[in-house]
Amino acid sequence: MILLELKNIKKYFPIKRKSWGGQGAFVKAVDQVSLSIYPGENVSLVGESGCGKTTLARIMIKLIQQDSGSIKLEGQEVANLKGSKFRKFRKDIQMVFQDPFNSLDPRFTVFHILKEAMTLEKVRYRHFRDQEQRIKELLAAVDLPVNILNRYPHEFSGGERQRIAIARALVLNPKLLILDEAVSSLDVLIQDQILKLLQELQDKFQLTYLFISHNLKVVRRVSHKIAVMYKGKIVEMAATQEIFQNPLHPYTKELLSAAIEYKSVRRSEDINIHPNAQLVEKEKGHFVLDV
Amino acid sequence: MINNNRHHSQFQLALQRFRGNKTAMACVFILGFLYFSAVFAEFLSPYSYKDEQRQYSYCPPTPVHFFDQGRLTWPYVYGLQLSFNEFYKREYVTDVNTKYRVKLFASGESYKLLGLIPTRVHLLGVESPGRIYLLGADSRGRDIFSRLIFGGRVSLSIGLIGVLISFTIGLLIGGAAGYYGGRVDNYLMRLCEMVIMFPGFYLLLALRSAVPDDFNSVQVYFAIILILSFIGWASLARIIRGMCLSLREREYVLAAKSLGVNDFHIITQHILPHTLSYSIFAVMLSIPGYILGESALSLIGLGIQDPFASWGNMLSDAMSIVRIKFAPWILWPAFFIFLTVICFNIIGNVLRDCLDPNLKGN
Repeated sequence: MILLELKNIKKYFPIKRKSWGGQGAFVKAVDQVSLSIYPGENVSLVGESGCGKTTLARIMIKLIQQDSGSIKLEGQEVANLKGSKFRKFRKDIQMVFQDPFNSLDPRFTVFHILKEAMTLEKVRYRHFRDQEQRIKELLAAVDLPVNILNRYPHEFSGGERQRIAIARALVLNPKLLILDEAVSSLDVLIQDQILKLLQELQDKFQLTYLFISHNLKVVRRVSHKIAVMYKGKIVEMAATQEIFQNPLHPYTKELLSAAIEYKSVRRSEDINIHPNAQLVEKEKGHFVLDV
Repeated sequence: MINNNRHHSQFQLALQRFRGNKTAMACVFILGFLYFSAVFAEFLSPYSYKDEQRQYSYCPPTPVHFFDQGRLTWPYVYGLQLSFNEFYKREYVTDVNTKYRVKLFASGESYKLLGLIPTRVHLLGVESPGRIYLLGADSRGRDIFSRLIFGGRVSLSIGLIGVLISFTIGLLIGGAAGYYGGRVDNYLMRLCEMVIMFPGFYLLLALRSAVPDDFNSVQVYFAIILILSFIGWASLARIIRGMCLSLREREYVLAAKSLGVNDFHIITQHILPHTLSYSIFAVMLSIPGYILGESALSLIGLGIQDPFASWGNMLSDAMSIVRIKFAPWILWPAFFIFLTVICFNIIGNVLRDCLDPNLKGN
């Protein structure tokens, strides 16, 4: 069963107001993107800044409404969910944000931050004892001591903050965790620790990760499948090994050559994408954007 | 599980920095003293604000004597006799034969302390029929010191209440404009610009003339507050709106949204508290505007009416240079307006420095 299925997601941002009768100008942030995530199969979205990765992630957790396209969580369409069903959906997908210095409210203590994450489970965590127990459990899971609860975010290092942010995202027992550049702002050693932690957490809580990153080295370690995004479109999608060994799309090749010592590829001036391009299955499970 | 070690939020850290600033703390103490004296005005003032003694018109400050023929005694004042010199100029001649002892906790006019406890005790007084004018008397022989304290009630509270009202309006309108954006934002901001566009003082005059002139002093007081805050909210709303606009894009707001926290909770917990820490100094810097606005209205006779005292209408006596030359002590209210405004400005500026996270290292 597919955990999360995106079909033909489109999101254009207006950059120029529509004049009378005329057509306004748009940024095609996400353009006809389809993506399937299976339980336990970590997917990575890679691509340069501004290619629409973050927008796509925000559409997935419905922080932004897509212009068109469908999102299905475990086979159920979520576009028009309201009330309790929508809250159920919220619980199943959570996100860890890019900047740990910005994603924790500086006015809240750690306890307060984690308690706020229980908003959707108010009934379950009604009593202080239950809250306390859950919070202890999570702090232990992310390797933080329990005596930090009445500290404020500014008293922590970047890595510690990101652990808190991960703990917060895990409070509601999500099935899919979106990690939006979650390790990019950390130094290499801390990155390594966090990645190890994420692997542990995956085994422990049966999570599925969606990594969003521009760092191919990180992506290689954690993901089973990679989707390369460029100018709002997925240009290539295949298993991790396949992408690294046999990149087909010119943009993927360029990305690889920039990130790791791949066969040097002549830097192309600009990669043009044909407006009618479609993802085509070249080999088994290896999709490339092609006319 | 929650231990007792002190951990401080950024706001608490800012307060610590503020406490370290001596000038600002001095200003806080001065203002605290002024507000304290306004609250306990009846007790601290020797006379009532409307206690007229025409024979003491423009009486200069009464010297208080501590020595009697070279010997230290209980402080006393001499009696005064009004006479005219050969140019028909008023002169107060001290009558050395009459001595009136200064009394602490003297009994005087009856009043209700804090509006509750009926009493006659005043902190300072003098044996009747002597009069003590610590800061001189005005044209009707009323004690300027007493009227200053009573006037402080109006002048000091008008800033606070005015800011409270305009801050509430500004917060609501700015918050709505910033958070919802789009068309709501557009309309509300054009409204703000319309209000800002009016030349403030003339709008003040026009609005004041629209208020019925048979209002009693309490009604006039609240009318002035409403008028001033009607003018003042717009610039605050613009500040708040700008902040909300950027705050709603913060990642912790997005995180709260993705955790299913509702809009109202997000606005009150994650957005408005952040605008509060930044707009506290904006509020501090705008309080003097209200005090000066009230003073200006009262100065030209449109504000608080005699015999009620405010610093502004006390100053209206000082609009003639001849009177200032003849009785310079009628300028005391100007000094207190100046002092209050300076104190609020200094506190506002220091608060801004303390609350600005970019200056934290110092």
